[in-house]
Amino acid sequence: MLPFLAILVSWALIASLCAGDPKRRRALRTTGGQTPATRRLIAAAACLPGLLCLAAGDPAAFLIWLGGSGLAGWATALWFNRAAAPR
Amino acid sequence: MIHLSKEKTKLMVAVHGWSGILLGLLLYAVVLTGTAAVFAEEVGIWSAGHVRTTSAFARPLDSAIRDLAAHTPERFHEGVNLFEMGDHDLGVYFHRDEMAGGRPITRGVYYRIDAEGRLASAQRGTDEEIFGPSNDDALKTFLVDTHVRLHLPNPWGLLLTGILGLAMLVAAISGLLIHRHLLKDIFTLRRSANPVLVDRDRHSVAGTWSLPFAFVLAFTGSFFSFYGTVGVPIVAMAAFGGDVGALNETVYGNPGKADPRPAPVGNLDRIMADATRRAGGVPTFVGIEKFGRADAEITSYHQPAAGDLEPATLLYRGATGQFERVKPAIGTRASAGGSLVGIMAPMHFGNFAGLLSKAVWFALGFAMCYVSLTGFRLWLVRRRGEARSLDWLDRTVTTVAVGLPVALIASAVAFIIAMPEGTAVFWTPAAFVIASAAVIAGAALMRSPAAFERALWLAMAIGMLILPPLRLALGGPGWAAAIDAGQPIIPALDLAFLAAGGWLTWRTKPRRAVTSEPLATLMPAE
Repeated sequence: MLPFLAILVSWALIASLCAGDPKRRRALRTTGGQTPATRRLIAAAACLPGLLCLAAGDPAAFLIWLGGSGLAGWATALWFNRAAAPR
Repeated sequence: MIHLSKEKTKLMVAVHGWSGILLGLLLYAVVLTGTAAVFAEEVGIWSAGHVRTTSAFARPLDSAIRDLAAHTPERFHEGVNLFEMGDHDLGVYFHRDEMAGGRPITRGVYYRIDAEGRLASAQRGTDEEIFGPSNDDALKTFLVDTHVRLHLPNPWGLLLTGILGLAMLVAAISGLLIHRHLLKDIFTLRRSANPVLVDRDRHSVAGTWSLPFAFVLAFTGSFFSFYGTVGVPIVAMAAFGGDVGALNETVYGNPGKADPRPAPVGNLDRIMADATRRAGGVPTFVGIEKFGRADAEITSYHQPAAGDLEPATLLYRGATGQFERVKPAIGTRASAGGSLVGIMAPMHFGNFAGLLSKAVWFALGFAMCYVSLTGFRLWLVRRRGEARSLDWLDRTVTTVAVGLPVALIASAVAFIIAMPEGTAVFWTPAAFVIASAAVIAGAALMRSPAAFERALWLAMAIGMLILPPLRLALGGPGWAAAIDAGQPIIPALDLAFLAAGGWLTWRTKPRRAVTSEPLATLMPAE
């Protein structure tokens, strides 16, 4: 349950990072996006669930979180750009 | 990120590209089969229709081992290995260590006891003669052997896969160094830019997100390949005068005073129950040294406990059955090095937290395949329009990238058909070779790259779609029976094959606006 929750929380924050990513938005010719300070804050928050797994003395959950978050990030990048791809 | 000078960046790009191009297709084969091998146990259960769920170590085994010992020549009582075979049968191998041509081997008698406690088979010989693939695990063994040593003889196969692991490390490190905006580009996937940028984005985004695991999998994979082939002989030569047996005894043995007096072994059922309680799960392997002697020792090996990464190893006194200590992976006392060695296997196989960790590792393996292939595409797209045509390499990439999974599916189909006839050991690899030859012939004969690629995807889709009904038609357990027996993995894999086959069929159906460009090779990940 712990790794599931950790991945879900991180995934939500990664999705927020992706949605507000200035470079991605520029590539789609849209303006706006998060400021660097906001992005650093969200990125740090996205790492917190993994650190909590370690602090809880559960290295297995940490590794699952690390792998799961990587996959979640990749899937998010694919999804956001798929939705925006020209038809 | 890390800033290199222009010349160094150019050099790193060349190292990254050429290490990938020269070894990339072999690396892809190793990674793809490794990805499938993450679920090797489950594939074994599904393909052979194994429905038992009670471990051989959870059943009484003490009296059976004593009976077998009474019928086995005493010279083979030097060591007794206990392990599971097939559908939770118990394998018992009475043996002694020998040297053959300068190599350490074991020779002895191997017994297989079925779930009802009956002797199913007995075989005498060396470990190499006895422990080949068997009819009901031929598919699983084929998958694992392809991943571990590409079916090359020892030690060459292991050396090659070790070199491939190092190439993956080189590619990961050079990729990290040449990508100046690693974090800035982590969500950027341009779809309507020029083909070089599109392929570059695909490669770098997938590569960045999976970078930590590229290091982990490449390092641990190389460790396993070089451990026995290079590491052990070198250390044995440097510190033990080339005596591998002495090295093993020092590193893994249990030092103590020899006591060759005869003494009956302690109650094995009681030891198994105690080990299960202490480690939080049944053993996966048990070794008894000096069986029937006063200085006998019993070691039980277990999967990591919940929340842990390091597998548990427990040591018992053989004659009394008394628990002695938790044994580190190397040496006699816990150490950082021992723990590191201990976590290598779980980190590589992803089997430390059941199906969840395996599913994550499987997906990460898939990401590695995607990174390898997008790297190839990028390399080719960058060179499109150069004087020398690289169409042959483009087609080779398609042949391996899509043809390899087609051949693996063909070997699974052959296994399902041949296993009831008892000929799966032959037909599983034979079908792989036949399918590979057919794919290569198709690559040579079909003129249109798009048609060739579509044919391969369709072949894969059809193969996946026919696997579940074929398994059921040839006597495999039905979904209700499997779920009743506590093996939901059987219907789960059936459904996975049907879903993947259905999706591939839908994805490859001809579209109205078909261009002359081949299909995007990497569509499963998209």
